[in-house]
Amino acid sequence: MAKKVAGYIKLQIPAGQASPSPPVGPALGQQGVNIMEFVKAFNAKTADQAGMIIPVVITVYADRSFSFIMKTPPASLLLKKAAGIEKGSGVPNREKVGTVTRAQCAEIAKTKMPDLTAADLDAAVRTIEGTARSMGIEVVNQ
Amino acid sequence: MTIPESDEKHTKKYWFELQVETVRELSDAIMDFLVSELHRGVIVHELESEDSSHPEKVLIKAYLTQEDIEAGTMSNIEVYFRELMELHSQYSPITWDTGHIVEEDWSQDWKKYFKPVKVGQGLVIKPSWETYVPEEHETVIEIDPGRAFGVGTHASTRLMIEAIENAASKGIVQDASIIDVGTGTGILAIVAARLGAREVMAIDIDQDAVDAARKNAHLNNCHQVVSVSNTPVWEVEGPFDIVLANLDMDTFLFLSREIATLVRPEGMLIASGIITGQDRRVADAFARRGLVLHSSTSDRLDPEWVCLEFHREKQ
Repeated sequence: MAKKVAGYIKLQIPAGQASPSPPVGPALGQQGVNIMEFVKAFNAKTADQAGMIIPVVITVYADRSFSFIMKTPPASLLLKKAAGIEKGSGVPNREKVGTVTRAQCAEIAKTKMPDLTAADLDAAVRTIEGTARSMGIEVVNQ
Repeated sequence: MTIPESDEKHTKKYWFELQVETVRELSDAIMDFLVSELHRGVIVHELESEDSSHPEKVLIKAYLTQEDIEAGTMSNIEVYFRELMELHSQYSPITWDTGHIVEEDWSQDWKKYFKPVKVGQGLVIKPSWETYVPEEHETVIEIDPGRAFGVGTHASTRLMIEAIENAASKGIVQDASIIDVGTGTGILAIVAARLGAREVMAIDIDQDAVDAARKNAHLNNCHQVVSVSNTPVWEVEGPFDIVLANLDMDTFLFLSREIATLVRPEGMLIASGIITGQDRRVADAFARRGLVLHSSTSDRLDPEWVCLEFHREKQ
């Protein structure tokens, strides 16, 4: 018999750095999840991905037990890697901090297609290019 | 933004909760910015859209400390949002709101759901605030976890307890000298003591764990056998008959030499906190330190968690 699902919690957490403080504490505590058990499991699974931001979906069951799945890195992280930068721009309209090519955006769009709600690949590429601009990363042809 | 004046003489710590509503297309960049600025994660709620022709909206919750506010982080965030709206005027504006929450010990909320749990053949792990009438063959261990890890419900704790029970069934635990590295609540050290160990050294670098383990050793009346301290593993004088370590892969790889040194010739190491796929690396690390992998056991309920048993051969 499948366990009854009480709810889902979606978080993005730096790899290996989950702790009982916010956002994990308030998000999971209200659901009766044993936070330390989640913290240990998440940190164990992401120990070798330091510096990454991990999207995670936690399923909480009616008996307060839980399971979680980790999704592929967000497009923002793939863009930073492609541009060779650590951090996006805080003022992306005025200050550009890197460049990516349209081909790189298309590549990222293909990788992230399952997570994007885009109608087709062209729309997905436009979303990725938009994310790049939002981070102060210029999109160039070559 | 400052701490509310109703604060009871500043004894409570506040967190500022920032709620940001935006279209899905901008959410990735916003979350990336927030995590980079705050060095902590965010909560994501996907909002149901009333009209499917409109882009889906996302509600992001981020948390700031008073120190973040004083450092100007909120202003940086607001500047960023304004820049984004200038860049993407085709989307509906980003809206945001701040509130505050009082810090509490969130790690304790689940306690009200923690009930006695049966582990292995005859052990019952019971929270100190619950009552339990044991059956004749059962040994009851009381645990007050405090903020520490290990109440017997996690697969790695369960595997460790079963391995200790299994060793005890072969007479290996009785009268043995044992060390529990990273003891957490002290649960494994206490199980070993209750199953007949002569002396158990329980160490943890986390003071919360040391406090919890001491309390639990007293609760179970085995504080004469279990000595708890925050001694670092490299300062421990071994060796021991049995080394217990429920840690994680990185810690095992980092401390493989120090941990392996604690195992006497013909002694054993029981290691868990490892998930499938990591077991090979941990086994290789200990093999280089002269320990022989004797068995690898997966948890019955949660098979991705693995417990490894190593032996050191006679010299």
